[in-house]
Amino acid sequence: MNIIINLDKCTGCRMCELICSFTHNNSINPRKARIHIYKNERNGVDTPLICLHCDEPKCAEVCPNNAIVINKSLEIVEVNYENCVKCGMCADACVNSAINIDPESKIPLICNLCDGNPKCVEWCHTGALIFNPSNIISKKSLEKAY
Amino acid sequence: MKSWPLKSIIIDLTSRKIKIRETHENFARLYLGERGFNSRKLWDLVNSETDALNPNNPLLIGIGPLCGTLAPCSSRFTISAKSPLTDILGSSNCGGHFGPELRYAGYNQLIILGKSKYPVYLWIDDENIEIRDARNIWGQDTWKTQEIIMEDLGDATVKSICIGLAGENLVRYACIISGLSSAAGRTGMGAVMGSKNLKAVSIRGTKDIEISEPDKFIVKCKEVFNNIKKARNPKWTSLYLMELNANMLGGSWTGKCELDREIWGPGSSAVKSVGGTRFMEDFMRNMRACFNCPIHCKPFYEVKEGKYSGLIGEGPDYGLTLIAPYCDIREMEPILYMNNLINQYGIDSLSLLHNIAWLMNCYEKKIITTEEVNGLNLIWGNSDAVIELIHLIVKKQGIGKILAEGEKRASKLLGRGSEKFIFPIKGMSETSFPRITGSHAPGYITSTRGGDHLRALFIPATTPKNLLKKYFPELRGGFTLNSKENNVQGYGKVLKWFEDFSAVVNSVGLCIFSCSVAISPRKFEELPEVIADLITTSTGIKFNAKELILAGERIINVEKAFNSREGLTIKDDDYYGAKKIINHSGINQYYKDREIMLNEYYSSRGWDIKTGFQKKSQLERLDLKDIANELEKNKAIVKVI
Repeated sequence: MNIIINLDKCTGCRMCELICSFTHNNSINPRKARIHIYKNERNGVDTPLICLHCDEPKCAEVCPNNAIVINKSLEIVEVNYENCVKCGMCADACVNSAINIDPESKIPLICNLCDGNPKCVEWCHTGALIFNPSNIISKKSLEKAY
Repeated sequence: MKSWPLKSIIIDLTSRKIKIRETHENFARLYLGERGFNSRKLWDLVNSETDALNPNNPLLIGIGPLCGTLAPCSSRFTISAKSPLTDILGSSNCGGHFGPELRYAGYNQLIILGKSKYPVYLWIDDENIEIRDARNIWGQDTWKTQEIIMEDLGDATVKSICIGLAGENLVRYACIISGLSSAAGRTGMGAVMGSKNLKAVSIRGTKDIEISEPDKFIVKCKEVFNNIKKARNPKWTSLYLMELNANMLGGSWTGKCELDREIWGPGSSAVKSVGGTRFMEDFMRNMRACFNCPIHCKPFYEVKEGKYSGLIGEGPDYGLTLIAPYCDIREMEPILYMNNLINQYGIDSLSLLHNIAWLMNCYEKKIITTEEVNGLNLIWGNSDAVIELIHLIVKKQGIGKILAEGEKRASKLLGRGSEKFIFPIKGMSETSFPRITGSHAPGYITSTRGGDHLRALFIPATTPKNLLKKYFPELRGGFTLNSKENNVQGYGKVLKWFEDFSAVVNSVGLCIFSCSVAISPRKFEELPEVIADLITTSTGIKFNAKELILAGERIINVEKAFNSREGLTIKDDDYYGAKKIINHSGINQYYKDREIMLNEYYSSRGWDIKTGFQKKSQLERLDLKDIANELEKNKAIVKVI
């Protein structure tokens, strides 16, 4: 499972950030969202950054305390918050800059696909975010394209 | 009151002192936020002696209770000060991503006082507020300024507002820019910022917005979101609106007008070459949006060939698109180039185009010679000359020095009868002359910030009669485009409602576009209720539709009082000098019906019909007794027993 991004369609409105933080925290704070829009203003390009749930995630590789694990049945990357030592190395290692660190608790925020019903996809009105429940598009090709 | 931060920042740039002030909940209830907060504070902090470019003119940046929340189109913030262009209320609304960031930092208003000895910028990082040296940025354009600040702070997510050369050089209609093209455009707020030696304000906010009733709030947001999604038109770009105006409301731009020449009519080749349809086909690359906005009306464009090949930018805004028909420019590329230029310089497109079109008209009429306009050949359609003129205005060189003074002052400075060819309302030019019908005019002329189309949303001219009657049964007639048999009875009352409603929208943090066209005018009467529900469920402050509209009325009355204290009278609710000059069906109709509409408007507001002044009893009803007392001292109030 993962979320596919259609770059051409993203308008940079950041509604995904808001609904993400609202869904996970019941309050609104884009800096606590698991998806982020990187805004390249000068070139008019808005890029959604979200965990692609890589097969060989760098974040898990660098984690000093095995806090980042692969859920094999769901094929997604997950955080074991009990193990997390809040070092932030996962965020630095992520090749897609998709991991955000919670400004308050300092824990990494990684997309969990809202248990199979991602709210950002539901609220994205342009179709820039597409849910890919059964890996119809292979992760390898996605990583390449990204 | 869970999510509405009742804290404001007061920064004195002279003494470099920074204070945090609590906002009383009752103040929030009375004035809602954003435009309402600013207008009331402006009344308190300014008097008629204050010069707009003097350090004691405060610069106010306010946000509303819905700003930064999930409520769709909640990006807006308002910047206010006494206007250097009009010398009355200055107030300008802006989108983008800056307003929400102020909210996440935990404040509802920034009050900037005094003047720094050298160029500075403000850095607000939640609780940490700093006045930082900006001498290395002074002189940079608005785009580069934001980039340098991001680099300086080492964070690409910082959101800024800033001025360009126009604001630094105190051009009286300089604006404030955020991002590439979001602008607090009107009434010269950029010049006020420049007069304070303040180059930019940058914010990083990391706090949560707690929602009072999350379950109800999210349902309401989704409902509004779906309504907008259903109603929005993918073609909505400013150039498309310009094309629409020219094609469908052809009367508005045809016939002899204040420019004394034919303007483009429906289906003309000029409209085709610079209209939205061609723009979308040949230049538009992708659409961009303000914060949390499903309408996304900001196209990003790219010029692929010719003289301007490689040019990329965002917009153009509605104001600038009108430079095409006003100055008779029939090529798209120079218009897009001008759009980048004015965004980088930070100058208001609407006032700019009126000043330029006026000068070109004077040139064509030989009121001014080529030598006097720095050797420019200012004939209609000469886009190179217009671009050169923009440089001269911003740099205040040659003829640009006069034009930088704005429409009211420039025509007086030039004299020679040139005053006949520009018609600002209260010192500021509106979008376009009301040549369609007279029905838009009352909304322009009563606007508290001078000639403007956004403060009344006067829909009646374009809304089907049966719908209007449903909501406003007192409407007897209705305008039909270019009809000679219009009955204006009831319009004054409708105008009052739309003004009050616009004040609400401008004060809660929503975009006026989403509350006019996008959610469909068919449902406008229900909108105050929708907004009240959004505020109640998010902040926990209970509001109903009636209270909101009453707050809107209060805000309009504070603004009207501000202008009366500055010396404005009933004579200022009109086009400056238009009656004597223009013979056009729309204008004639406006003057024919003006008295009926205005009398009805003043009486529904509870203002005096003869003088246009407010009545003491009316102000007291709106909890504005202190304002009534001060107006009494200034003899700008009518007492009623």
